[in-house]
Amino acid sequence: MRNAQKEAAMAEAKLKIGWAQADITPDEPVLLSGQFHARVSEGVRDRVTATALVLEQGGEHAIFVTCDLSGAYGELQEAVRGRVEQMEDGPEMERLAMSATHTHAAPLTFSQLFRGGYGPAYTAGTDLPPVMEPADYVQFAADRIAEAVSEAWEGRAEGSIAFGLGQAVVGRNRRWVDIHGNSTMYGNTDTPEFSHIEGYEDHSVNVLATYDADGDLTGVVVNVPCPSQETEHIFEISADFWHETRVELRRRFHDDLFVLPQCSAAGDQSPHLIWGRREHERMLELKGRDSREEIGHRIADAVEETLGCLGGTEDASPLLEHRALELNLPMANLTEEHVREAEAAAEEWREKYQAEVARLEADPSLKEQPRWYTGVTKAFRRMHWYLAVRERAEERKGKPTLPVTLHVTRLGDVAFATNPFEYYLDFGILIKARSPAMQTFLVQLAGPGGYVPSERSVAGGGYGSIPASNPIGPEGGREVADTTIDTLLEMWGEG
Amino acid sequence: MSAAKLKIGWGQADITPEESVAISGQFHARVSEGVRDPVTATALVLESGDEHVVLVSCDLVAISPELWEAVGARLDGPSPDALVMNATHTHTAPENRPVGSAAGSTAESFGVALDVMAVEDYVEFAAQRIAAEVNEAWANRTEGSIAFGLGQAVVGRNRRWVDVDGVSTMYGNTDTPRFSHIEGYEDHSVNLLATWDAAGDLTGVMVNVPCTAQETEGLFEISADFWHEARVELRRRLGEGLFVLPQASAAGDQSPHLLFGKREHERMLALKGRTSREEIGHRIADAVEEVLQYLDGTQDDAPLLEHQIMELRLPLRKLTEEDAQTADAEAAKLRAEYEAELAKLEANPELRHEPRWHKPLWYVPVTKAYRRMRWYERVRERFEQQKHEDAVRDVTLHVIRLGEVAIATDPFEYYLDFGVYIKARSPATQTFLVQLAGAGTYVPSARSIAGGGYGSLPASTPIGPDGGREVADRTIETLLELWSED
Repeated sequence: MRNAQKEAAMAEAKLKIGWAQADITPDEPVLLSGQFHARVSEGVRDRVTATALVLEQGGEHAIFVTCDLSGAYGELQEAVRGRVEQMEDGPEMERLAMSATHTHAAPLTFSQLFRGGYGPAYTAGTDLPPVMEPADYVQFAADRIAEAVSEAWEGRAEGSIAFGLGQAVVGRNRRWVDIHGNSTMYGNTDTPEFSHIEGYEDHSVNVLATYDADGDLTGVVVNVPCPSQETEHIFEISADFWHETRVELRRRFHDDLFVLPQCSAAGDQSPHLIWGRREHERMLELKGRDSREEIGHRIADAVEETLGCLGGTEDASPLLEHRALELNLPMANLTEEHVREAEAAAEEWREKYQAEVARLEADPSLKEQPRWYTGVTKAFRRMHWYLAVRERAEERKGKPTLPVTLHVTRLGDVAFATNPFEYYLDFGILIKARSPAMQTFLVQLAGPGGYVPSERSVAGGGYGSIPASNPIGPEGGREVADTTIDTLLEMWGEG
Repeated sequence: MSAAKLKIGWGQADITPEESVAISGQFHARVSEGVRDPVTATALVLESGDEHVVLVSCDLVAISPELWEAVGARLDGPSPDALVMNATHTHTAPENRPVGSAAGSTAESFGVALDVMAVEDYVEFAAQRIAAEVNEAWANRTEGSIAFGLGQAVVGRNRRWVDVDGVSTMYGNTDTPRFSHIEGYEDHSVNLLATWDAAGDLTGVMVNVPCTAQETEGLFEISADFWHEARVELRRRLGEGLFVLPQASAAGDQSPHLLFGKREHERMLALKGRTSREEIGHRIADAVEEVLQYLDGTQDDAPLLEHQIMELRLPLRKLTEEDAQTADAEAAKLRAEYEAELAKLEANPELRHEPRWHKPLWYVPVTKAYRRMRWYERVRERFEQQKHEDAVRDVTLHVIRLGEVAIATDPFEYYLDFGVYIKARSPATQTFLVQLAGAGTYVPSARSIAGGGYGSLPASTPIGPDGGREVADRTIETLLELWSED
């Protein structure tokens, strides 16, 4: 069949849609992921979940899973894929795009970090409160996520989609530049040293809604350029603002609504304000809302307004096409000076670490205090974070590239494009500006994470844009963007 | 801090001319061909004890010193020193900066004769109407209260982008492999101050948005741009008698136009059945309506009122011989273009009678060439000036404290980086920055100078980033003084 004929035939095929949600909250204490210091979970503030959306049309299928986790690390991805592969008449595991909301209050799923990063608890013989090991949590979560994929796959049925664009002020740029050109993440902008906010903000809310064959709303994909880290320091398990968003959306629509959150490119964004906090907090007080509830309301307002305009635009047979791209990205260039600076910083943290260990050894009763372990684990991890720069410099000599997977999906006039990073917003705007799709849902953290800094941010440095933060530099980030754009252009026949 | 009871007065004047005028806002001349919607001036009078201020927002591109003085001279009651005027920067209102005006940069004649109301006559016409409304608002001021809050609306969009070589451009096509990033930031805050009368009824709102009113900036008709739709929508929701005083916060590098995402934006407009101006009106009204519902109980009928006028002598942007030579070369090209257009018109007088559908209108190319030529020629003039005398410009800033709210003006198209800097450092709970409280001219951010482009070129910017920073620092110092007793 010629391509055009094939496309026409495919375009007529009905779309099948399946949804499921899994609870991936562990039953025992875990290490929470998201800060340098260790946090042993002391309870559950709200449940962490994984939501699966299955789409099938014309012999193609794609699966999106978003988890209330800090990252979708390789171990978890492999564990879920392994289970999907075992399913009888199940979907193809290569079509599974798994991403994370980047909540900083969910279980750690990276066992290497557990053993190497939080070392003192296990290598220095200290007695960190007992926790479920990440490797065990990975198996626990993978079971439930795979069950959700299976349920969504088995339950897929004819339906339709519609999409639209709203606005909500959620993601805020978190890096500022001083009058000397130095950049800082967070900190105090109420200083004569303050010059400007380094980058941009993107307040778009991309919404894709699904309807069943009766025309009833079944779920929404909600794409916001902001990681879910408003209460990123708590010692409880939590999905962060996506919890309040789901609550609010279900209150407004119905309790069974599926909500698939996605974080668009937002490496330099967070929900935290670096100016204007006083007036923001006053408004929260007047509204009687906490900051997470406020974000939930803003997103729900945008979704509700958008859905209100979509009547008549539902499409029951949008063309579906999925591509998984394997890229070998150049690793960030590391000079000997970078390495020396990192080693000097590592030495400073080694001293702090040793001082912490000595302090604990000198007075073991300190360990009876709550959260006694934060100082020592922070020093240990920071030290290793800097030491990793030397390792990467050595690694780069032998193998100068890093393999990554991108998923690019066309669904009618909508594009979905993933990357595994904390991808600075400049790249996201570049892709959106150049995409041939009517709307482009970028999905960052469809993988382990790692900041990929914008070109301009590297000049200013600071956390997020220094060698210790960046296995991949701006060149690699641009390559991801250009490859994504080229693929989208091909899919839309404009390549 | 206790203060005297606040007295509040409101007024709105129609300043739509009754005859054809030169519309201000583009390089080329536009002779108005009708009225799409009226242009207005809204006055808010505030008095507390011995202190009073008169805030007047006009649907104009800028406020010329001539207009300010003409209004001040007609005041009957309030002091001319208390008068603070700002423009929404609509690009479809009558020119109010006379030729040879101290406002300088854009008011020169067009290089050909056009049959329009003289700018001086329009200034007199508008001043008379504005002053009459202010006097009435003053006479009718009565005890009332204020409350304030903060909302969000995506209205102002950054309009400058940087290519892979670091060169900046205002507007243009970002769907190119040369695109790198949006140059600056965006500020989607909506600062709101509301007033109530003694009976507790809402009387008016001051709405501050970091965006200029130029969504339909190319029209050949008189219009207030999106503030018209915002007023219509606010009055529909909150009452027909509502006064609305619009302010543009620092937004020199912002506009309502999108640099990316236009396709999806236009699809949504089609689905909503709204024009882009109506959409902006709805977004602003949504923010105002949401904030207002949380202000109950926060009304203050005796907020402290203080007003400081600051006279600043700002350094002009230092020009190099190379800047002047570059501008000379552009001016020479435009002079040739202008002379060719003039010759064409002289050889073919019938061109002047081409019907409206024949675009562009006969006077557009010739006036555009002339105005752009003069724009570049002034770079050389400034360069020569800086050799002989102090290269400075005198500007006036108004800084007002009203309870926990600050209102701080500047006469510029002031890049957003300066606005965020002032807001980040202001001791007020909310800070209403008001740009274009004067004749206007771009004051570019330090980072924008590197990229150049319209808005940050020497020809666009008599005052450079140093002057912009000085305005910000002086504003912050004054605010800190005003709040020092807290």
